[in-house]
Amino acid sequence: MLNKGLSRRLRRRSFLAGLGAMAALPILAACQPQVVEKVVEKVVEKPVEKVVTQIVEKTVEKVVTQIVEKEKVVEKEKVVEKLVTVAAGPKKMTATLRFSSWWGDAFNAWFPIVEAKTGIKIQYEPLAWGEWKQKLLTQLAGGVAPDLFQIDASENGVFFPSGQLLPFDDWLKKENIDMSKWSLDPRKENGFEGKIMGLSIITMVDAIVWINQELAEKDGLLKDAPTWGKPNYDTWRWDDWVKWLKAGTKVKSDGTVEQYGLDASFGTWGDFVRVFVHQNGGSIFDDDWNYKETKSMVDQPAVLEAVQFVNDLVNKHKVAPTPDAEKAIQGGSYRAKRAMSTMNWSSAGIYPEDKFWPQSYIHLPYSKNKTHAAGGNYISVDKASKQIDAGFHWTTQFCIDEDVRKIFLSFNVPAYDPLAIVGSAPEGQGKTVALVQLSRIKGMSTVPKNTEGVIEYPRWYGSKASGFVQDTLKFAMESVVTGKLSVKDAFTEAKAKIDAELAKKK
Amino acid sequence: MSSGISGNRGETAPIAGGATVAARRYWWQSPIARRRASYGYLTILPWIIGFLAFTAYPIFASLYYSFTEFPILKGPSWAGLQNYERMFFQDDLFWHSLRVTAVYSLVAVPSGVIVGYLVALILNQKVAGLSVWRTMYFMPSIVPAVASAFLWSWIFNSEFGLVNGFLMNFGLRGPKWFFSEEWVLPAFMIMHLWGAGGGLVLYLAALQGVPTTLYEAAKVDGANVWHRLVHVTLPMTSPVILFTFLTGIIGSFQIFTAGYIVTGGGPRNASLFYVLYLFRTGWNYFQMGYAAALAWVLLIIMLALTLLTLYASRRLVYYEFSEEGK
Repeated sequence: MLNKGLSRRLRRRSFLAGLGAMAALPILAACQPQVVEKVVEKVVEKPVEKVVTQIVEKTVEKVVTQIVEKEKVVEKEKVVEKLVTVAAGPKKMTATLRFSSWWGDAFNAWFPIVEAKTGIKIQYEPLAWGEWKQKLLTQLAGGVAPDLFQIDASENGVFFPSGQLLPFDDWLKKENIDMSKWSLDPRKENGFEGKIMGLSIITMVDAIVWINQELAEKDGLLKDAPTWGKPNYDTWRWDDWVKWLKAGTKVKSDGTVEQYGLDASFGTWGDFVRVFVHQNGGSIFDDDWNYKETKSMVDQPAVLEAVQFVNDLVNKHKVAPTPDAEKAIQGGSYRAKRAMSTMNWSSAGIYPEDKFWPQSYIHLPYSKNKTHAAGGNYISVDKASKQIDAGFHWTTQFCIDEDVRKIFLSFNVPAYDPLAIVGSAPEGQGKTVALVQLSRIKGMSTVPKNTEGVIEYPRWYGSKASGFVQDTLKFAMESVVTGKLSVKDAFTEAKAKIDAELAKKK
Repeated sequence: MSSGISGNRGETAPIAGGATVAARRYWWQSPIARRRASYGYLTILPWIIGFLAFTAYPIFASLYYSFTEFPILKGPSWAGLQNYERMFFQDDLFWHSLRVTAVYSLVAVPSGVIVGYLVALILNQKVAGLSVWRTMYFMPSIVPAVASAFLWSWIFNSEFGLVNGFLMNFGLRGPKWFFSEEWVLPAFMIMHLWGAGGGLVLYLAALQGVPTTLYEAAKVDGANVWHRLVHVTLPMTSPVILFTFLTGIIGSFQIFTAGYIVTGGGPRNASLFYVLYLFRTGWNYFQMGYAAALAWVLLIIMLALTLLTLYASRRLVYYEFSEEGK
């Protein structure tokens, strides 16, 4: 290609181009081994030669152009590195990996896309949500786990310290993945002792309030609500919310409730109760993040106030149904149009407007802090896998690939560079809910002011007694909701039980 | 041989006193019998392998694990009697779950046997549409446990359930059933009674196997219906009653599905049945060693109850063709 250029009449531009190319060759030569080495190391089986050739050719062409334009050697080096990544695309590998998830058929749309780009085939092992943990743990204990598996962050404390997962750090570094594009730093979200134990598929959903526009408008309750798109978006505190919910609750003369202001399941402990605790500045342990908990903090005033607030919604203000009243209605009060609003995850698929009705959204009203939960669903690589590189490669590609993430949006908001995908999505409910979801995340929100003062909290319950802690909190919450114990007594008792259990695990 | 007993096939051997008996020979002493036996063992080999791998090994492995601390992903480490010590002296939930299960069994099993037997007595009469009635009573027992659990969670719903709706007609406000600490066990007991027709087939077979001559003889002796029931029907069908009672006890101590689906052990652990607690220990807390110990204690409890029942039944159950009956 260069010879052909020199045989023509030499123009200043061509001369400079040629000169640039010649200058670029040593740089390329210097860079090339790094590139080749990288490829050879990972592509163990067949396509090594092919990939290398492709990279070198394309790099040369593009570097020439860059050099002519910039004429600075130092900068050129950087350009070359970037171009190599872009031009090479994902490496091709020959491998078939086992992968388990509880997302059912959703993955089937994505497998061919990733396979076309990586050459890696997936042997899918769908699991039911109710059994994924038991099955995966049994498989891991028996040494027959899939190469890759999906994990819900609520179980981080079980999987991370087990030593069964491989950290992604070296791979991500080697692949030059732009780590600033994750909606939350993977070291924080999926980190254990400073290592990244899995790559997030989704940006963790937030608890938001879905409003049935028709029911709210009928009572004039929509116009002042701080719904998405309004200047007062995400400004409500708990008190504002309670007033609004009371106005939306309708009771018949015989005392039976015709319409609740809010549909929510507060009968026991769960994610939807925990969020209030963190909003109120409370925490579950002395260290919620690092799997080094030593004592419980559930008897602290911030926790007690939050639990009291939740209990009051049901038993004092009576704006939300009791657990049994809620369970009596197929799909819940909101679906049955017996509640003006509902508290649920920010995932458009939960109440799609084409099957339900027009809706508006407010982020969950708060007391002291706006919150965003950390820890959704992620994919990890089994330490016992015999195809580790292929596992890392497929997982990374799956999480960052633009085509995958675009399809993904109809399902959930991707964890990698979400705003780019959400921003380019067609207008509609999916996009709106996604923007609401991102609205409290720094660097991802389209209303940056809204991210001020937002605190993150983890969804997991430490590493020492995760299941026990959750069951103990459930017991405490049930004691409160059923009126058996006061909030203080129930959660003081819970703290004592949890601390005793943690003490055993020291 | 000094004893005079030879090992040859078909020979007779003189013994002391001049009498002769056929020489006792074992099957393995005969090549033909050995060959036949080997074919037999060969044909049941798949079952033997399956039994050893999937039944015998897990049983003995769980016995070993019960003496270990076994967080599932870290492997077992020997802990001696620690799990049993914890169970009996430190774990309130062990005793609580045992109490919940015992109370449930104490009511559900006898009432299930009595109701099932009474229904069988009625359906043993010549009533119109007998096959329809029999089918109707038997059917609930073959409804899958999961479906049955969902069905009853609706029936007992405190707001819109059938039961409370019915009570409302009389101006009564029904309890919260599965959401009430006090009513959750009675709700499960009633739910159990719904499947009491499961023993119907056995009871009917037993009732129809009672010789009519006994009833005729009793009538001649002046026995009324009650006397015939107590002195003829019950004794003659008592082996079947014992069987359903024993299997009922074993089944009731293993109750899991309904509790897991309907209440998850709540409210406030009021329906935390023993096996549900065992499951929770193993699969929520991942303490496999402790869960194995719980399983072995359950086995011992059931074994003890079974032996106790069998012992008590010696005086209560009549076997028509037993040694004593001859």
